[in-house]
Amino acid sequence: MNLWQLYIAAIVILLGIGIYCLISRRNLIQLIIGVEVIAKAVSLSFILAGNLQGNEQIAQAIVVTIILIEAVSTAVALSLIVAAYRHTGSLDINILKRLRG
Amino acid sequence: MNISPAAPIITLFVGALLTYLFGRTYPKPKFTGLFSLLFLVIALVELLNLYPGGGRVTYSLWGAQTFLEANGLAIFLGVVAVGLGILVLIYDVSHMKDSPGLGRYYALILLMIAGAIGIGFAGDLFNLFVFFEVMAIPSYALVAFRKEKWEPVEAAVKYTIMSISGSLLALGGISIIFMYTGNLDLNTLAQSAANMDPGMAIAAAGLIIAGFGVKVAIVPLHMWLPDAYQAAPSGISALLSGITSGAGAIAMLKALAILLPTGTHPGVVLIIFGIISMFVGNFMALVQKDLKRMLAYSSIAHMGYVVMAIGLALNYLPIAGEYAFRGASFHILNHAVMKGGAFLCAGAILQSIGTSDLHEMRGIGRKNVLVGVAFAFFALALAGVPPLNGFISKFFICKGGVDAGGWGIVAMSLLILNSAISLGYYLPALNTILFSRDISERAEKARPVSAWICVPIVVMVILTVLLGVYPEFGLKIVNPAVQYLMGFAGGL
Repeated sequence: MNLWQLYIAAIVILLGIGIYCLISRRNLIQLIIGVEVIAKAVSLSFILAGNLQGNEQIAQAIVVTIILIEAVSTAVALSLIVAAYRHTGSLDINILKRLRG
Repeated sequence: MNISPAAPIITLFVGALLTYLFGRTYPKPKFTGLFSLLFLVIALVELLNLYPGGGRVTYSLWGAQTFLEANGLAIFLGVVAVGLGILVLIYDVSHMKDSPGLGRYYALILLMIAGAIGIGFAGDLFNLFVFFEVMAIPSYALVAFRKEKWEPVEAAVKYTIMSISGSLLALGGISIIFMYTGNLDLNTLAQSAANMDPGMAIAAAGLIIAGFGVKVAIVPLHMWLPDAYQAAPSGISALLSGITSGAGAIAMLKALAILLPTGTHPGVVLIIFGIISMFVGNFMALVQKDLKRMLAYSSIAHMGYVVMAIGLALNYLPIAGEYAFRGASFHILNHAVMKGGAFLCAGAILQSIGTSDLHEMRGIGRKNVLVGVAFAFFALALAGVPPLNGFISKFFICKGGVDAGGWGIVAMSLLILNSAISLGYYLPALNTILFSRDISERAEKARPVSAWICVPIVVMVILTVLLGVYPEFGLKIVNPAVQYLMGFAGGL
């Protein structure tokens, strides 16, 4: 078994965990954690790609940028969740159903 | 004058920082808006200076070479984004005057527009993704700008979670392309992508369509859109529908075009999802009771037209590419003008009577004649009534469909059918607003509309008529984009 096959397996497992988390969890914070896990899978696949292609400069630039973007968007998402919590006192996903139609 | 292709983007980044500081130190809302407007005007001048394109700037980021390229498509998207941004900022001087924290608001708008311009300028997939996020992240915060109310917060949480997951999927697609090519430069990528494994190319195309599709709101991924457009401040709804969805469609097109030589047919998927989007958007709009929500569903339908045109162009490139690309780009421009204008009218009505419920708006057009008549122009243009601008771009898309022949003609007839369906909600809305016999209590007490709001609306009415009667005016910036796209997608 080659090393890159292990990497592929890790990417697929992380992606699976992230998507399962997004589908099954009812808590807003846990949804954000699921998104983060997917981001880790994508970063790992860029690292693998850079390694396979021998183009580590682009891979490292992208991974550092992904971490940065992910931190910013998570901060925005968490601040929105705090605002939602202040309005309703709950973090359940069912609070998000007042707008309909 | 010779300026760098990066200049408009840098201007807006610097502008965002300075606007925020200005808003903190000099808390007089009107001047903060006008101060940020200054940067958009500078960016517009720079973009017009770069017309009709040419020039490429390379910069190094953590050891990787990345490119910004001033081509026809970039100038086109930049002019649309900055132009709509200028009109919305003038509008917001009066519309947002009572909100606290306007420095933040205007700074985020400038960042969002910078991201949209950057999508056009991106010369590689890495920059494309970074600018896509630069556009997306401020828009989450802008939707929830009035966070003391519940609706904006709910809409923004939905939007944020869907959009972050979507952009990660698109990034996954890009990583598959990178895994097989080791290179992300758009100009050379197509040759190196040609020998990709076909199965993985399909996976990459699927991830890119699903990922960028969240922002374009193609139908199974549209759930966030009506909430976000309804709950956001009206100027932001105009910017989201006019700029971010169009820029998302162009990002999707740029990323998909390089997969054409691998033998995948992303165009077919886009045509199918475009048609589904039109039908769902138009039928859902028929039953809406809230004006902004109705316009939001109609945005889904209009993005369906654009996505279908892009699909036609990618699938039947040599024969139908030119008119389908022209239709798609022109429709992005026209949609920014007419839907932007319609949202500004909805916002003006919302401000003067305090609700966006369509039933409460009976007869408002007689009280505020200018807003009512302007809304009539926008609604008829959106439905595609000649000689207004919506007709011209739909005509180009139909010409593309006829050129393609076969299924293209079926797609074209469905577009015409959808235009007819859309009259089914634009005309009743127009009837309620402008021709209603009885005037509702709220409309009776409507407050007059400020001149800051009237000016952008009047400019948009003039553009709606001008682009319809004299389309060459719009084609001046659309044609270089079409030329670039034909060379970009066709030269592969």
